[in-house]
Amino acid sequence: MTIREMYEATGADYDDVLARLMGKEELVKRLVLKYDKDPNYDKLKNAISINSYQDAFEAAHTIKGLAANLGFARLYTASAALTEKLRAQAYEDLAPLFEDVCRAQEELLEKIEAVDD
Amino acid sequence: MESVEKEADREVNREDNQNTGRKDNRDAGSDRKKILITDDSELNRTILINILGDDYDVVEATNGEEAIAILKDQGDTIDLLLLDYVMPKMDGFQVLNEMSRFRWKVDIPVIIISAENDQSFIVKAYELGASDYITRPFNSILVRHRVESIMRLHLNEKKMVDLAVSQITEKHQNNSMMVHILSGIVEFRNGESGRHILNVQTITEMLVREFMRISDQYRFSEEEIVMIPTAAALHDIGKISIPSSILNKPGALTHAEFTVMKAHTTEGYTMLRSIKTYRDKPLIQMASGVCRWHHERFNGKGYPDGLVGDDIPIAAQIVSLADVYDALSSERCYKKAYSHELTMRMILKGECGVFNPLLIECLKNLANVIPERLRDASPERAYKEDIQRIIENTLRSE
Repeated sequence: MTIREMYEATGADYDDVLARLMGKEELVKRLVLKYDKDPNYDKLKNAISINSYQDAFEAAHTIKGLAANLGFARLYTASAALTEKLRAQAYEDLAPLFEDVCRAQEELLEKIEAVDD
Repeated sequence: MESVEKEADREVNREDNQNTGRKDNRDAGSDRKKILITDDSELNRTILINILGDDYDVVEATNGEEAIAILKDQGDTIDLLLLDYVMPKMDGFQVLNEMSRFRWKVDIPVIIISAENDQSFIVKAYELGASDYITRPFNSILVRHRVESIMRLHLNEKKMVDLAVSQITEKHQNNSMMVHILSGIVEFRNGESGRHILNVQTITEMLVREFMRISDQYRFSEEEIVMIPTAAALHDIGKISIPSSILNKPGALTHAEFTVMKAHTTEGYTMLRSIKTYRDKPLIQMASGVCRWHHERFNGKGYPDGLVGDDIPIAAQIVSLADVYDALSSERCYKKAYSHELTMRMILKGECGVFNPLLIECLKNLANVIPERLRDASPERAYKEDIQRIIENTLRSE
C-alpha cells in the first residue's frame, strides 16, 4: 500500500499533510513509519491503568499534537476528546474516550504496517 | 558568436558566485543561527528538524529542565527557542518564567508550539513574554517564516539598542572625560589626593540612589542620576581663582584668608553662568548651583547665602555631604586622613554642620558599603550600566 492509500484508508486528507510538510512525500513517509515507535501510546495505556492522570494527560496531549501534525484524523479527534476530559479532571467517564483512542491507534498502526517500505 | 560566449561566461560566473555563496554560508559557522527545540516527543522534534535543519543549527532538549540547563550553559549561542507547552518536569510556561527570572528573554526570543488552541491560553503565552505562538497542526512554510521573521525582528531591535548604547556612551564618555580633565586641573592645583573628585562622585551617586529608595520627596530621572555626579565633579571649580598660598596653606586660615577661600563657591557659580552658550543647559544649571551652595548647611549656618533647609537645591545638599565625608576621610594639606568610623562619628555628631536628616539617614544606611565602593571606584566604572538603564527605561515607557 502506498502512503497515500494508507491515509485514504484511515479517512484522512493526504494532500493536506503533504502540503504542510513541504510537499515531500519521502518526508511524510519517513515520519509516518517512525510513528509506530513513538512511546506516547504505551505511556498513555500505562498511566490510565494505574490512574496516573497527570501522566495520562501529558501523553494524550502529545498524541493529539502528533496526530494533528501528521494528519491522523481519527486519532486526532479521539485523543483531543480524551485530552479535554483529562484536563477537566472528569475521570469517571474516561473509559469510552480512552477506548476510542485505542481503536484509532490500532487501526492506524495496522495500516502503517501495510505501507510498502 | 561573441555575445553567446559572453553569455556563457556570465552563466559560469553566476554559478561560481552561487557556489561560493552557498559554501560561505555553510562554513561560516558563526553566521548560521542556532535554534533550541524543546519538545518531549522525539517525533515532534524530528518534524521540526526536518523543516528547519537545512537553514539553522539545531540543539534539542526533551523537557523544560533540560532547556533551562542548556540555556544556562550555552545561552549566548542560541538565537531562538521553539518551546512545546505540555511537557513532563517543567512545562513551557514554567520555562518562560524561569527565563524572565534570569532576564534571558531579553536576549532570546521564544516561539511556543502547542496543540492548544484555546484563546486564553494563547493570550497567556504572549503575556508571559513569548514572541509568537504556533498551533498544531502547523504548516512547514509558516514555521519557517515565523522563525525567520521573529529572529530578524529581535536582531533589529537588539542592533538598535546596542547602537544607541554605544553612541550615547561615547558622547557621555567624551563629556565626562572633559569634566574630569577640568576638575583634575583644579584638584591638582589644590594639592588634593587625585581621588577627591572621584570619591565625591561615587558617594554622591550612592546617596542619590539611597535617597530615592527611602523617600519619595524627590523623583530623579535616570538622566538626572547620571547628571548629579557629573555636576558634583565641578563643585570646587571656583578654587581656580583662589591664590595657591591660601589653597595650600598647611595651617589654619586667618579670618581674612577664610573669607577669600569661601569665595570659591560664588566664583565657581559665576564662571559656569558666564558661559553664555551653555548656561541654560540642565547640567550647567545644576553644576553652578552645586558650586555655589555646596557649603550651605541645613540650619542656615553655611555660606555664601545662608540658605535654610530645602531652599538649598537637593543636588548641592547631597554633594556637600559627600564632600565632607571625603574631606574628613582623606589626607589634606592641613590634616591627616581620618578612619571611616571616625569620619562617620564626626558627621553624625554634627561636627561638620547640620545636614538634611534624610540624607544623614542615607549615609547611615550606606556606611557599611562606602569604604569598599570607594576602593573599587574607577572613572569608567558603570557608565555603560547607567546608559543601558536609561535606554531600557525609555524603551519600556514607550
